[in-house]
Amino acid sequence: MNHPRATTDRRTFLGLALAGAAAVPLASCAPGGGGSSSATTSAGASVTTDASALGNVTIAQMDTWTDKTSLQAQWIVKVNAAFTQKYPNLKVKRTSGTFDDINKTLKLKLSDPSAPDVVPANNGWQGIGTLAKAGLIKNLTPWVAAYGWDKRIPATIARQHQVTPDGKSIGKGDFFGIPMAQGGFITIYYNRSKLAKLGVSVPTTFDAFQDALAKAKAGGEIPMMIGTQDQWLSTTTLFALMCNYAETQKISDFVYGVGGTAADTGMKEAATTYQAWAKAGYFPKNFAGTPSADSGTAFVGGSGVFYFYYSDSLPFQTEAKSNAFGTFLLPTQGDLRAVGASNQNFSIASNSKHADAAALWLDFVSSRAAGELAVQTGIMPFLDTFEATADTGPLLKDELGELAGVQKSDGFVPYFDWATPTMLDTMGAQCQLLLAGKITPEQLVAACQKDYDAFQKSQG
Amino acid sequence: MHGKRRGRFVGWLYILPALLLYGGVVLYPAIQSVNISLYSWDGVSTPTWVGLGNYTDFLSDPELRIAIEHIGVLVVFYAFVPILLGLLSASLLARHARRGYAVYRWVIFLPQVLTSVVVAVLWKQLYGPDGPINTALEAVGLGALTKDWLGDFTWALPALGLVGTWTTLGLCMVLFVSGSAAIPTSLYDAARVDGAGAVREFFAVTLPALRPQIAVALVLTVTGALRTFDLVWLTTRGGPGTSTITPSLLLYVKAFSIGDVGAAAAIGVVMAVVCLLLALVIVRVSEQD
Repeated sequence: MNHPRATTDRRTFLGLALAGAAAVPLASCAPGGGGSSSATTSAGASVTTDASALGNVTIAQMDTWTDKTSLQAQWIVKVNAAFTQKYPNLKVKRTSGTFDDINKTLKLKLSDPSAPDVVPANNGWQGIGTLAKAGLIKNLTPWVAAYGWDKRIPATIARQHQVTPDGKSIGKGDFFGIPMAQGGFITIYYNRSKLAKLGVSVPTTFDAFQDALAKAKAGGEIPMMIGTQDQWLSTTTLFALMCNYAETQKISDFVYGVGGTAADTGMKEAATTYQAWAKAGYFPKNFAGTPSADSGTAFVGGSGVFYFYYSDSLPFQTEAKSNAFGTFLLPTQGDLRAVGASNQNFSIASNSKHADAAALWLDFVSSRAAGELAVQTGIMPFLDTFEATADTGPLLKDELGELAGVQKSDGFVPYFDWATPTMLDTMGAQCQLLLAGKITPEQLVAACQKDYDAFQKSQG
Repeated sequence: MHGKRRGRFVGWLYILPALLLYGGVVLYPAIQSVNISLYSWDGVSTPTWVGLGNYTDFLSDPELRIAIEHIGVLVVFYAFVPILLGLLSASLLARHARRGYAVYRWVIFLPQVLTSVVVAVLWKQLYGPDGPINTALEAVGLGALTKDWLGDFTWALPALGLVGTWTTLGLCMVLFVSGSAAIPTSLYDAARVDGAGAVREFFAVTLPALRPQIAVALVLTVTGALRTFDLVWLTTRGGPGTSTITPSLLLYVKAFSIGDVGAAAAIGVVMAVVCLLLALVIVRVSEQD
């Protein structure tokens, strides 16, 4: 038998160790910081766009598609092969990690002299904002001019990758990352056969969508699939709904901290509608206890008529299965607007020794050729409009239509959670409270504003 | 004199390897955490000295107050309930040898051996809207009691607490059973001669004899409750709303999502100090005569 005191002491120190452990990985370079405090690489530095002048180079490229069977992973493999085919002296060594792992360790990886050349920094404050401020990723201005990226990328998308050189603002300034030619929206999926059975056509106005929900309810169907138990999916529908009630500029300015308040973003109206849907019984009975992923599985399995989700993210087992579903963007009042972005932002590490080769890769990954490879792979391309081919399935056809519509109106709305590092957590919890009828839409907007103000204040 | 001094020196030499390891992986990071907690630091840029600012922010944070209240509830489920149940089962087992006793002990101890991820995934399934718990309730005609356990503002925290009870019960029971096996049977004989029944026997003999084991169980389970993170993170992420947030969860979010490493370190330091003080108090009290 152990002497209690011996056991106790060991345990308390263990407690101490565990409590301190969270800080350990970050502590290794503390305090004193890794990079310099302001962004480096001055505009006007000379760059080379001639691949043959670069010699034999292998670029280390990182992304977040760990599942080899996913369409995104298949796409990037094709893109890298096509890149090397085009520039035989440039090779790409690809590594991947989960989105969460990469975002939580990127600061450390980039501080290392052997950092990967191309990294998937997330958009928004937590990602390119902080990394640019710390001087860990390169200001891409010289290459933007050399390749004409600013002319190729729609203005509302460009903002998603820009940071001011002092690192104090996002959504304007210089490019610190480049979107890729594959992306997606918060979109509405629908079950084709259920919609047909209800005698409802794909809604083209917001009112028609509301009518369709009411008809589905009357017809004994679950009008809308959703699962909010693990929080994140509770915000998806709200962010999509906001596009109906506010202009792209209003939402963007708030997200990027340029100006305006949460009340200007259509959030109150969107929350009112969202709460009314919950009260009207449009969601499955157990939505509050259903994890997000399970709701996706249930929808694909034939439960629910509509589903707000992210493009190309539903868990279809076979292609035939995906043919049973269609998708459309929430029809918004006035111009078509939708929350949408390139699937990933790619930035160049400040420590990269092959910046010119990495820039060539960025140019290629955002090119029309890469977009065509996406269509060929069966996922949504981006940054241009694309025609369906004979092989294009019905779901992708719908997606190409969505893309063409938003390209035309230049109505790409940024993800709302880029506004502050805590916004997704704050809004996730608030939406759960809203749907449970525990707070009013006004209170939700106030909580959002409070989170926003606290962050703006901390930015100085 | 000379020999004595050398003896002391040799003693230090013996523990040197362990001390180096311990200092490197425990003491040094702990001291560094204290240091970081005095700065405002995002993990990469130059840190700014804020003195005790992180600690005062932390004390005035309303979320943290909620998180601490949750710890109060979790301590009941992680520590008090399993210790009471553990004592009960130990007192039942101590009186007579039972057949299949080893198997019984093994089964109850099993949750303690499972990794927390397995436990979380398992219980997430059990608590699911169509999971075994709701199905069982409906099967026996208690359909009215079914709930979205982990999505319910009232029930999510107790539901997670129950998982804690399930995991720590085995440890408490094994501690108490082995402790009571070491109680001389002569004490029980004496109690019986004096006419004590089962209840009297428990309070007069078993309970006082198990005091060291109860202290160990309390320290382990209470600090376990204080550190609750994995279970919550893998099931509710603190939701619905903020109804299951814990200090460790806030620490993690601050360090890795928000990038406010100084504030996270401050939470860590406070938690470590609280754990240490609790352990000291429990051990002191248990050793008093």
